[in-house]
Order: sequence, then C-alpha cells, then structure tokens
Amino acid sequence: MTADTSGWGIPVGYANEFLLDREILDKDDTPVGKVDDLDFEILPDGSPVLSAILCGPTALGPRLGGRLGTWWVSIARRLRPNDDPTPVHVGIDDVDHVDRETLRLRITGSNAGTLRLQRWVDAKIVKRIPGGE
Amino acid sequence: MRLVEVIGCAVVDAGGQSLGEVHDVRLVADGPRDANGRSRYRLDALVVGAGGMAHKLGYSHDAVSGPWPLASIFRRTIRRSLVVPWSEVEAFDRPTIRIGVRKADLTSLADADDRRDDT
Repeated sequence: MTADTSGWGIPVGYANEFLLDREILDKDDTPVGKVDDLDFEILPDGSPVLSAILCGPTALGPRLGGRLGTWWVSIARRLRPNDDPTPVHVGIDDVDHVDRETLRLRITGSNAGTLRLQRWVDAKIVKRIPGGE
Repeated sequence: MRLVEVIGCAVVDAGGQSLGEVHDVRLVADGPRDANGRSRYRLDALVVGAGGMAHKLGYSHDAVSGPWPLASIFRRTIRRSLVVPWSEVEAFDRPTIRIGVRKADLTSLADADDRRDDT
C-alpha cells in the first residue's frame, strides 16, 4: 500500500467514497452539516490541492444540477443571514480526521460558520412563534 | 476551483472522441503539508464515463451494498469507468475538458484499483 502521510489513514481515495456527504461533527461532537462540495487551490505547477470543504444549501445546489439545483440555490440565497453569496467554507487545516461516516473538526460549529442559517432561523422565525422561546 | 465545476464536465480525448462525463475524482495525499504537518490531498485523476447513475447512488464505494442484483450490476458498470490523470488535462473550459491522450491509452477504474492495491 502507498505510505499514508494524510493523517487520516487514507493515502489514496475517491471524493465520493470518503468525503462527499459525510456528516460533519465539530470538536464537541455536535452535528453541524454535511460535506456538500470541495474547494481546491491551484498550485503554480497547475496541480489542484484540496484546500477546504464546503457545506450548506448554496454548496449542495450546484451538485443537484438542473432546475432543482437552481431553485435550491435561489431559495438558500433568500434565506441567507448575510449578503455573502459563497457557501460555508471550512479550511482543511480545521479538519481533524475523517472516518467511514463522519468528518470531525478541530473547531466548534460556531467558529466554522456552519450554524449561521440555523441561528438566523431560530432568531427570525422560531422565537417569534408563541412558545418558540 | 470547486469540485462541482469539474463533476459533470464532458471529457474529449486527443482524437476528438467523447469519453463521457466526470463522475468522481481520485485524491492522493502527496501535496504540500498543511498547518498540522499532514500532506494535503492532490486531485490526481478524474473518473470518467460509464456508471453515472451508479456513482450518484453511491455504489462506487463499499458503504452501499444492496439490494443484491442492483449492487452487482452497478459495481460492474462502475469498474468500466476510465481514469484520466489530471496531468493529461490540456484544456479545462467548463463544460468540456480536453485531454492529451487517446481512450485506448487510459486505464479502467478496475485496473487502476488493482494496481493501487498491489503497490
């Protein structure tokens, strides 16, 4: 087998197999989303290197494709708590490890920004419903 | 570059033959070290061609194993997908990727995985 220097026990793998759709847990074991897309940095020699995982509806929409994907992104953008059109971006340095079902972060979900939609929905919708406090 | 920009692109070989769409990418941990001293994953190759629906349904990895007849058929289809080294990509102009080799010179996913297991 190829020597593993990834720190994740996976020297060679396929994105569908070990990254995409994995549940993301923060350092407190709180589920904060799923891996919806990957971001690559292009090195000077032209090699793309994994730099971040992307999550949230604006990351998932383009993967769905077609009208459903367009609709998904459009709705997600209208619900966004800020004007930033980019998906939630978690740098690869903040990922601790990945296993068969989950990807674990070294940071909390609030630091990663993955809970911002949930917080916005809590503040703007849920708390305004009687008994929603 | 986002993965979603690559997935779904049509790949055309050096002879102008269409090889199908990109369904997955192979990552190899031999890139520059990150802040934690780990090798970052480099996009090493594209998985192209047969088995689009099977890839989408997750039959490209062991986590999905049933139902039996579908798993068997889809796995066989996926193994006919072609592996295109990223180093052979000559032009990436979404939605088309042009490569510098011909289909006959590419390996199937089955052969690529067998070689990986042997190393």
